[in-house]
Amino acid sequence: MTAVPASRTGLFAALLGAEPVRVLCVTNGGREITAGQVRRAGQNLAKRIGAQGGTLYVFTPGVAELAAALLASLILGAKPVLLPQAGKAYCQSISAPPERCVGQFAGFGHAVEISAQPDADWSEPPALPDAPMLGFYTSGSSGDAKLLEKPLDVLEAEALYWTGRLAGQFSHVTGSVSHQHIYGFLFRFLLPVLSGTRAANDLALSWDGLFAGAPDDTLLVSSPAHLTRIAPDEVIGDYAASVILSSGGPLPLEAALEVNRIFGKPPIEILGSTETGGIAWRQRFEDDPAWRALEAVAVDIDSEGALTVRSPFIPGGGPVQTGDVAEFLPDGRFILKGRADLVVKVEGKRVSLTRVTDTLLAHDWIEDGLALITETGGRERLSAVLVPTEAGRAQLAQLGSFRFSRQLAASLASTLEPAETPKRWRFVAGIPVNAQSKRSRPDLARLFEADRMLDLLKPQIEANDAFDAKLGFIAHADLPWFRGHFPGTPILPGLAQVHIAERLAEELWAVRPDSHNVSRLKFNRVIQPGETVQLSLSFRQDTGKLTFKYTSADEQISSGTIG
Amino acid sequence: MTELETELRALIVEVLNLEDVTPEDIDPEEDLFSEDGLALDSIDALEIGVSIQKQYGVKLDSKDEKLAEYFKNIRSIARMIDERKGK
Repeated sequence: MTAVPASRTGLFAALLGAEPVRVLCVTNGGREITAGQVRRAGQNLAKRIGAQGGTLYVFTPGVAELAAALLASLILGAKPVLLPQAGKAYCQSISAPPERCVGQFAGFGHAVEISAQPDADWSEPPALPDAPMLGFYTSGSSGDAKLLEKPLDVLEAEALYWTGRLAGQFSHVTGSVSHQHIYGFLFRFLLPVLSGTRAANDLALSWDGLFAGAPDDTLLVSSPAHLTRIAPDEVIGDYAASVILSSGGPLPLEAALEVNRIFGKPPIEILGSTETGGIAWRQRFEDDPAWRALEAVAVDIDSEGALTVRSPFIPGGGPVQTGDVAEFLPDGRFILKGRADLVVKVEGKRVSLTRVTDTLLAHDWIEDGLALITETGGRERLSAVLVPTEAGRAQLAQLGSFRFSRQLAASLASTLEPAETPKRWRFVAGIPVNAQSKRSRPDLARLFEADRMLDLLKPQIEANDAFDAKLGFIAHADLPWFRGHFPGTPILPGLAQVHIAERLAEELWAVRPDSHNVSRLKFNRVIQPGETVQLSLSFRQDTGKLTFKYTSADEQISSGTIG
Repeated sequence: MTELETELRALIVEVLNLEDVTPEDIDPEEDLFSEDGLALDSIDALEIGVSIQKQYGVKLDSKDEKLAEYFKNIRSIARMIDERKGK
């Protein structure tokens, strides 16, 4: 994975710093819109909106209005979110209040008016933000609208990657995809602004509209929906494009070859998603379905065969599992083999582990985790390894893991069918990863085979709040630690006492000390087989420290702090 | 708490592979299927029914309207077994 240099001139710096007369874009009607006019429009818009902060929901007809809306959000200190549609019902469904909507809405919101005045009249331009974010709404797997936020510099890095890669190949950008989605935003808006290229202000679907006033070295930002509907030769014969991009879905081979026939080059197809940004590309002159990862992107295939991506175009870098099954070719390229929906058979019924996992993750008590199949008593059981949220931890401590799991299952009963409800549960402080820093279901299944401390010690739980507990147990002679320590005079070694405390804390509360460092350690005496022992545990969430104290009949055995 | 009830608790924990719970944790009058109880599901009920039939030789008729009542908790299952074995 090679690093993409961070942009020293981001979107806002480019918009604020451009010469007032620089033409950013050209409308369908041939009107040129300058950087100065866009700044003035942004300034006026911010004045009209007035209220500072919060979120601005943006849906604009063209990229100039988008630029103005983003400038207004900068001036107001508001977070911009791009909407895929502007209907009233849609805005209500995502709780976007009309007074926070900016652009072209039906009878509400603030319209963006590109002014004829040459520039903004501020005495000083607004300060550049430290870490601006931009939100996109995508349709999640269930079809519900899902907000995805990306740092603007991550988007800028992606636009700059393509700017560098396609440098010198185009002097104009036009497109048939909306700039309200990430693909159109990157290529129809961000790339022209950052690279100083003129762009068509409006998206066009008709081929005449697309190429109106376009020079021969035009970058065409297109999609399968468009490239499978190419106008007849007599219409399209006069038009030229130097680069044609296709993304947003699979492009049929015939369409790629037809584009090659007409324009003299096949489209550059980009594989990606809102979450991951661009992942890989291909340009097909013949039937060759393989994809090559973008230079900055590292792709891998996880233990389930699904494509995973690490990339500077993912906030935090990833890895992100795409849900596509992929297979590598010897030359490093890969082929997609369909969706990895992880369907298993449970009790004779088809169950999607992805769906069960997603449902579990949507619960207030659950922060992270996954569903998997484990084996017990010669039968395969639907199981779950979960990291509870803070609210979940409090419930877990109060109910104990058995009743906590049962309540969790009961509250999901309206969504999950009985066969889709996990039968075995493990609540942990974090999902363990393997040596390659990956989550592997086979490895996680082993969690279910390990002896649990609560089963081994069978303690009486005298008190258990979040996060203080008192337990009593008998140090039975058959506990594994007595073996070998020491022949003839078995004792429970200090290290085992620390280990027991740590394990019990995770089993009781799904927490783990921040480190294995032990401080303020005191060993007063050893524990002998058959002895009745009290253990006090106390975990501090703010410091990540676990304090333990073993006593026997009020006599202190040992104490210490882990973490 | 009768001997039969104690047996039944252990049987349920065993056949359902219930984890993180010991037989002693289950109150004989605790609701087996309601959400504030053990929240067992219909597959669990089937499993309990089968193992009780095997273990105690009692017959269960799926058309018996009182079946849900018998399976309310450990105590009611025990009572049902006692009654049928007594016959």
